[in-house]
Amino acid sequence: MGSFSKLILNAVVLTTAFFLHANSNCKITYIDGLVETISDKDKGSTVETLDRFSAVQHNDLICTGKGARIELLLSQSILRIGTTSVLSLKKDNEVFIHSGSFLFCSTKHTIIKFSSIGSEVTFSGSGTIILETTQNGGFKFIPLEGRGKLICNKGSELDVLGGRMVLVLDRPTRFGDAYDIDLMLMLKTSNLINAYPDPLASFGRISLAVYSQELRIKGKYNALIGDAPTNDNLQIWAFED
Amino acid sequence: MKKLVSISLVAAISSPFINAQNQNEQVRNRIEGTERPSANKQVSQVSDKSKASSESPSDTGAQRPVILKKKGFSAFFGYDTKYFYRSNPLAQEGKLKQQATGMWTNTFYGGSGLGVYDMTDYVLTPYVGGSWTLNDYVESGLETFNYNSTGAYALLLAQFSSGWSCRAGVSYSNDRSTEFDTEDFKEFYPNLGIMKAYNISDNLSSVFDASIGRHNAETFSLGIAGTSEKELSNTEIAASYALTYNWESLILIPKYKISYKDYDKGINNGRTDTTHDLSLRADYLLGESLKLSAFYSYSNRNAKDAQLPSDYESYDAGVGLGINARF
Repeated sequence: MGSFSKLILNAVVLTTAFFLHANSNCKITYIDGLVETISDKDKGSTVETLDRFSAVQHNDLICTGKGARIELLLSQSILRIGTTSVLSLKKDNEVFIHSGSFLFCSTKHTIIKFSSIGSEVTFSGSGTIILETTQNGGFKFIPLEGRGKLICNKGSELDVLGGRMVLVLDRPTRFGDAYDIDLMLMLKTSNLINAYPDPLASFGRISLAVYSQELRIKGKYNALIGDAPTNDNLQIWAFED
Repeated sequence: MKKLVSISLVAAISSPFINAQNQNEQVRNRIEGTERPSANKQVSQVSDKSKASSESPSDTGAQRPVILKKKGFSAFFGYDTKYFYRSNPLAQEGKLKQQATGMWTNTFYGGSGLGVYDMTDYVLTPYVGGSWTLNDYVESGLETFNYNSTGAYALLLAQFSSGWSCRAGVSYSNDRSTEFDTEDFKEFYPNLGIMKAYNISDNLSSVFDASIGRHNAETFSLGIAGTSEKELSNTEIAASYALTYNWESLILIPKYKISYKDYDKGINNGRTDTTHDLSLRADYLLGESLKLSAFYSYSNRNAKDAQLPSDYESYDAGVGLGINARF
């Protein structure tokens, strides 16, 4: 092989490596408040403040400050990261959340892995889903609307139903209890839906899920679901009507 | 003298017939000027959205557990009473105020939702229901026109994620004279409709509705040449637009409706009616299932190619009380 050919080959390999390592296929569509990234690409952590035109790279930790929020447009979906959250895009179809909450929205069939410190699941389908970490290292999987399967690495799978929250626990991961939650209340109180300037592409489907649930509601508990400090405990806050 | 006697005799013999015919025409006018209970209204009356009862500081939102019915079967029933002034109860041509009367109506209704079916892009809900209304004229000498109305319907409602909903249904109505115990009117009304509701602001929403249907009606014959028992049958196209303004327990609903009817039977063959209805209702919620109402409505009908006088205008103004329950 001639030296010129080697040069070309090296250039191709290096360029490919650069693109594979560097930017994810996402862009920032909305940012409010202080949002920083922590990256370790130079064998030492560097902290950068994100703005509307920053590039987000795979494996960078995205950290939102108090009252700060960011929306990312992935290839087929939208990711909204809530306040005081730490999250990383491992790949375009793999999201790791250290703490806090995010909203995932895709109107097309997608296969995506969600993981936290203590658990991981794969979602296959479409929908608008909120994930919130719990103290036990797992997370709450809350589909506002959607269809598809939730698969954990223990092999079991669940049908995803709008309004049915599932606790995801442990590693190897298993499903905890499931609860039907008041979608209308969720819709009215969630900043992941209301604190962003543009409505979600799936807003019509969410409205349909709310309508469908309203027709099925038999009663409501005077309680709110809180954190899960351990795998065996779930905080329930009772209130008077 | 003989001639005078014979004229008197003819008059005496024909007088009950003429009176009966006048009364028949008046009943017919009353029937044509009657607004019937709407299945869509009864169904939507029990499907109000719940209100948020708490706030959550987290970005996730408050997670309140609920209990759901497995198949979504539901039942509802209610009672409405109204006491109001009607300026032209027999829907006569001419002045706005003719034989003005007080009216007291009492409606009992009930129905059932036969499941909730998620069909990917829309939610399908079949309903069946019925109503019974006592219509009494008060303090006007029109008590002989008192009647009871019966209604029944089957309705298939499809709600789409775009906010539009479509419906297909058939309803049955029947009017029976309280005084004479005769069936004065009945009809089957297969119909199709579309509706779009959207929020203009937090307190203000609007509803657009359009429908097309065929009134297959039967009534008594007027006893004149060319008349038919089915001449109140018509094809109707209607559209309405309503605003709903919520202010704490008070709900204000101004509404406009236009309807076009094309008649094709008996002496009404070729007749077309255009009717405009303008109304304002104020509902005050006394509880979750109890409301007090005040209302005003104005109606104007313009008939073309009608063989009998059919134009009229009338208004109602009054108060009402409604109670409903849902299971």
